[in-house]
Amino acid sequence: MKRLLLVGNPNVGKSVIFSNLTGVNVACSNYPGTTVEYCAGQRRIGGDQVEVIDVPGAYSLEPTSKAEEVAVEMIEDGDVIINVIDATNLERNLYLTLQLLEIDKPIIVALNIWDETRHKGIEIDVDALSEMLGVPVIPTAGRSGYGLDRLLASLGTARAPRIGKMSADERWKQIGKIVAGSQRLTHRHHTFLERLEDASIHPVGGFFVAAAVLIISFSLIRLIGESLISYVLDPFFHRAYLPLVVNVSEQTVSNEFLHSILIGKLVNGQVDFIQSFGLLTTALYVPIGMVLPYVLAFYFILGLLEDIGYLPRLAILLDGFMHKIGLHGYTVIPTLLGLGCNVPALLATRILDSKRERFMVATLISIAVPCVSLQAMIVGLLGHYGMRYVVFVYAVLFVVWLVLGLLMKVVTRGILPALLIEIPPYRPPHLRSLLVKFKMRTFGFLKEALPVVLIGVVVINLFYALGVLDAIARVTTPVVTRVLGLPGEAVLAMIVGFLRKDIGVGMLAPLGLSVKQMIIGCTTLAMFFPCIATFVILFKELGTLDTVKSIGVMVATSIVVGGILNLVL
Amino acid sequence: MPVTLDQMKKGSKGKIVSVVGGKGVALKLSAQGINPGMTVEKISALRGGPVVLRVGRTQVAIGLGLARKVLVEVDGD
Repeated sequence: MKRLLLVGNPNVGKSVIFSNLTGVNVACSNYPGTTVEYCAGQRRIGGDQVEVIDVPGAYSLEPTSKAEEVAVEMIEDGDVIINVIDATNLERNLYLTLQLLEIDKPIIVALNIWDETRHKGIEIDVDALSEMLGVPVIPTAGRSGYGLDRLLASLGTARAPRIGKMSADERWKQIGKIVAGSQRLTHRHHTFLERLEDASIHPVGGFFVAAAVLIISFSLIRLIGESLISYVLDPFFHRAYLPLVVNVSEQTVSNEFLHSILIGKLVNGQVDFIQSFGLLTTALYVPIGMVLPYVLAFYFILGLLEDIGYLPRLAILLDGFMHKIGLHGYTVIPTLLGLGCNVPALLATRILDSKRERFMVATLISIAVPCVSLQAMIVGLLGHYGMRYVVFVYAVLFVVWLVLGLLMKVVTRGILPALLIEIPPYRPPHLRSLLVKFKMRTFGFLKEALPVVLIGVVVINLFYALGVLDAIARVTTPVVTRVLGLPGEAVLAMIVGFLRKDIGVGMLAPLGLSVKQMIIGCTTLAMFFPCIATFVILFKELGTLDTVKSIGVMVATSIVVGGILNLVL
Repeated sequence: MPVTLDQMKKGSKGKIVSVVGGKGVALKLSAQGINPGMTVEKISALRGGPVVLRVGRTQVAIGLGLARKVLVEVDGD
C-alpha cells in the first residue's frame, strides 16, 4: 500500500486536513520506541487503497526534539508527501518546505488556511510560488474542506524537483526571494481577534483576560455538570434505575453473598447509591451519575480553549511566575489537564525537555492537582456542609503545590530549559475536530474508570468478607486516628482511594464525620497516593527510582499536612 | 551596539546579529525562524518572563534565559 504523508509545522491545520481526508477510521499510536504519537488512516484514491499518515509537526528536518526525529524517520518511509503550509505565514513555513525539496521524494504543497489570507491583507500568487518551488501548490482551507478534492486529484502531479542541499543561510536567502516574488502584503486594520491576541499577553491586561477565561471556564464546567446531574442523570438514576435495583435487592436478599456483591449494604433498610458499595449501586452511580457529568463538561471546555488557541498564551503569561518554583510556563498545560484526569496530564509531561522538570511536574500533579472525579466527589460531599469548605480544600492543595514546588526547586538538580513557543493566532473552534477529541477523551475516561471501579468494588467486598481489610486497618489505624484525627474506618477509604479516589471519598460519607474530619479526609485522600491508573503511568514515565521518590514525597506530605490541619482547625 | 533581546525596547525592530550559546540553542531558535540576519519586532515582554517577538508573520515567545542569548542590532541606533 502506498503511503501518503502529511508533513508540516505545528499549528498549520494538518490534523484538520487529516481528519477530513480519512474520516473516522483512524488509529493513533506511539511511534515504536518513543513516546511520540502519530495518527494513521486509510482511504481510496483513484481506485487504490492508500495509507494516510499525519506526521508529528516539525519546524525542521535537523531534529531539535523527539517529535522532529520521528518526523524525519517517517518521511524516509513515505511514498508521496503533502507538505501542509500556513498561507498566512509563508516565510516561516517555507524553511521546512525547502528541506523537503532537498530530499528525493514526490511533493505537493497544500497552501492551507487560504481562507484567512484575504482579511489578513495577504495576496499570494499561487502560480509564481509553484513555479519557484518546482512543485504543484494547491490552496486549501482544511476547516471548510475547500481545495481538498483538488489536492487529491492533483496527487499524481506531485514531483521531486531535486534541488541541491543548502545551508540554513542559503535556505533563508532563497525563502526571501520566493516570498518577494510571490507574496504581496497590504496594510489593513487590526481585527478584533488580533486586539484580543495582544491583550491576552499584555503584562497587565493579560492577567485580567486569564482571570476572566478561568473564572468563566470553571463556572461553565460547574453549570454544565450540575445541570446534567439534576436534569438528566439524577432523574434517570432515581426514577428509572432505582426501582430496578430495589427489585434485584428484594430478590437476592436471601443470598447474603450475592446481595453484598450486587447491591452492597442497605442503609436504614434502603438502597443507597453512594454508601451501599455494590456493583449495581456505588460502582455504577459514582462514575456515571456523579463523575461523568463533570468529565463531559471539563473536556468540552478544555477542547474549546485548546482549539481557540488560548493555552499557549496562558503558558507565556505564567512563565515568569512558574520560574520561581523552578518550572517554565509550558508546565501550566499538563497541570490544567490534571484537573481533568492525572493520567493524560502525566503523559503530557513528555513535552517537557528535562528529566528534572518531568519529575517535578509529575509529582506536583499527582499530589496537589485533584482530578475531576475527585473534585466532583469533594464538591458533592463537602459541599453539603458549605462551599467555603470546598474552597478551603482547594486553597490547601494550592499552598502544598506552591511550597512543594519551591522545596523541590532547591533540592533537585538538573537543567531548566527556557520557554520557546510559537503563539498561534486565535481561530474560531472547528466543531468536527472538537467533537472527535471530545469523544476520544470521554470514551478514554469510561474505558479506564469503569473496569477499575467494577473490579475494585468486588475485590474490596471480598477482602472485607475475608477480614483482610480489618487486618490492614489495625496496623495503620494509629496514624489515621492519632495524627489525622479520623475514625479507624477511614483507613478503608484510603485503601480504596488507591483504586479510585472518587470511590474513596465516597466511602467517607457513611462514617458520620465532622466538617473538620471531612476536610482532613478529602485533603489527605487527594494527596497521599496516586490512584492505580496514575501510579502505572507514573511508573512508566519516571522509572522505578523516581517513582519511589515521588511517592515518598506524597505520603510524607499528606501525613504532615493532614497532621497540621488536625492541630490547627 | 548590539543588545540582547530582553534589553530591546518594546515596539522596536532590529536585525539579529548572533546567538550566543551551544549549537543546540541556535538550532532550536533557527527552527522557529530566529536566525542571524532576520528582522524581528519586539511586541511585549512580561516582567521576569518571556519576550514576545514578531518574526515574519508569526509571534514567538522566548523565555528570559534564552532571550539573553540572542544579540540584536536595533534599527535607528
